[in-house]
Amino acid sequence: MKVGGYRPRNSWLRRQLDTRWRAWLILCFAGAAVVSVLMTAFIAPRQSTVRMRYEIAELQRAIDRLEGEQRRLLLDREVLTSPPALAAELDSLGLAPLDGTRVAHLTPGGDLVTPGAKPTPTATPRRPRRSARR
Amino acid sequence: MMNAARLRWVGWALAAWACVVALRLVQVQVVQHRTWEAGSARQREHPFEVEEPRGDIVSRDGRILAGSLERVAVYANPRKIPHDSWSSVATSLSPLVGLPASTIMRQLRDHDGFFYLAKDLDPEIRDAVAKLQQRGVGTIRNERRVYPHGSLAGPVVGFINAEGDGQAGLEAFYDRTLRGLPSVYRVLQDGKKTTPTFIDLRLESEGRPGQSLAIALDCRVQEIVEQELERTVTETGAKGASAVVLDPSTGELLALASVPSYDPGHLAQSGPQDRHDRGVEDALEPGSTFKPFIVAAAISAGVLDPSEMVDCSGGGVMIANVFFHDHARYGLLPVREVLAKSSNAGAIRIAYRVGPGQLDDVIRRFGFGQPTGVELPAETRGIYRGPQSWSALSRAGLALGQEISVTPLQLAQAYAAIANGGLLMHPRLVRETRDRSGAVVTPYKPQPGVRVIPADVAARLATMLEGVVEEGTGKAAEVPGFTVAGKTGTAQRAFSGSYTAGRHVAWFAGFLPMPSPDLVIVVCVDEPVRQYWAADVAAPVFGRIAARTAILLGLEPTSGVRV
Repeated sequence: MKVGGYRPRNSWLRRQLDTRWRAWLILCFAGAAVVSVLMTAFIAPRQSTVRMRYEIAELQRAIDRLEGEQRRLLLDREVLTSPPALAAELDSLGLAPLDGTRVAHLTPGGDLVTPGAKPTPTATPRRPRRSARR
Repeated sequence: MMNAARLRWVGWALAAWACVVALRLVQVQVVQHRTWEAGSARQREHPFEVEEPRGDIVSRDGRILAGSLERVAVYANPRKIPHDSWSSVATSLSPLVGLPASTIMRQLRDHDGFFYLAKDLDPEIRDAVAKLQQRGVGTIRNERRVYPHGSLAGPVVGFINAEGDGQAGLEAFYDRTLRGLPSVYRVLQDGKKTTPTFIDLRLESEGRPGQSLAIALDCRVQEIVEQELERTVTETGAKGASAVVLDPSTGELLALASVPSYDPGHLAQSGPQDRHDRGVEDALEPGSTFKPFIVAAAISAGVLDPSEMVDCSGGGVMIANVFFHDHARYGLLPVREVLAKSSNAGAIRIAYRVGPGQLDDVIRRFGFGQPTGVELPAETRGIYRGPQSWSALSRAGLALGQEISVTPLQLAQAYAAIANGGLLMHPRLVRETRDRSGAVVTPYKPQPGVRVIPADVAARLATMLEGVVEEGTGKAAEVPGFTVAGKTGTAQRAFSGSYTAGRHVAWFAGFLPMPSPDLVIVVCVDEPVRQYWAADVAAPVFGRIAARTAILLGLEPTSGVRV
């Protein structure tokens, strides 16, 4: 005996077209738009913060690089202008070492003093001969 | 019934097990929370230190004596680089590290693990190497210590080793201050203990950049002193020479020079014998430069009137069957002339008027036999034995500057006490420490002076020392326009307990301008060959250093020849 399955047929049903899909679609779009606006409003400032942080990091890197360069140049200048280096280059620079015989100075009384110089002979008044005889 | 009872037992057992599990969870997650979290962090995180920049050493006149430059080193690890990409890695790295690709290939073949491809490169190389994104190749930040003034004040500045640890001079003494504290970061690592990225970098403890040292040394004065010492060593054929220039009112060292010297940036060019600072490490007998302290002790003890005449015994004096010769047959001399003519017999007679305890007290008060406390790690204390070790001849020896060894810095400190009205100021190098922005962190104020002799005794002694330069053995130390006070000293070099003929030390210690000195200068010439008397060797050096320094610093002259 063959037992056949029962399969209901519903071809007699005719589904009505639901005309509310446009409203649903519009509602979905509207919802998405609202969510997008909200997310944009929320994210945009953070995005600009992140962008600014990147820019700050880049600038900091540039500052570090320039500071390193400045430091290198500073040390180079120290090398070139150090007293031993200058002393070795005196002739080529047209300079001469300073010593006590080449410097004159003013005393607090306003007299010009030249170390090593001899007093001028005219500075001492000569005594009259006649008085000397006496 | 039976089934219900069994079920109940099973239920109780399960409940007990659940309780045990719950308790264990509480123990692990609540009670031992920190321990397990730390253990977990240890497994997945890797701490690493980033050294902060080392501080500078800056002179009084604003010159950088030691500074650091940021550099990078490029490393490679052949184990982590796929073999088939060695060639491309070598080609990419070649222009960055300045080595031919073939050399890099050879190095990759020769090494089994981590090695440095190149060191001391510009920091820009770091970005270029990072752009290669090659596993097994990277950069490490390091520093190069630069000494822009070469050997100028080399022994004072000192040097650091390859690990960045101070080894000598101020670099060693102030290593912790200069070095600062490293920053500690934590970064995630994978199961193979490698760090795939540095994205999740976490600062664990913030470091502190090294502080800079502002020191009292004046580069210009230091240069003058070193020039004059080198000239003297060349002219006299001396083994070496040293000099100290300090401000007696504060103890600040304007110059501390030692010849031969060394360049801390090129250590390989100098031998170990050049690397010691004669100014603080050489303990030598001071010779007649010690006589003023014998006179100071006698006047302070009230056993010598500065205006009295001293019997110089006509050429020498006999102490404990030993005859001490004088330079000439002096008879009665005023105390001022005992110093001016440097009479041995006069000084010995004065020394034997002072009791051993009183003499010892004054010598120790002047700081002999103990370190001055200057900020240099290799400073020696000199050699001075107290009265308990003295023989019958010891006071005579001390009067001649024997049985005691002093460093040039100790002698400068003692002469500074005379110049400073009897107040002893300990010499010092560092004036303040500064942070990276230049703000003062620690100012070092001079400590109040210690009175070693009464002010009137110091003033009388200083006036007597003027006589040494005006009419005595120190005439070569004269400085045009300035009144100078000082004392010569010629000592024989002692080796293995006896004096060696032909080996001498020439000293001159003095100060200017009188009557209120701004500079104390001590010159020591070790084993001059052609001439050895201090009057011919050390006094002229003092005169030249004093004249040039006085002009440079604009000291007000005390006298001069009017035009």
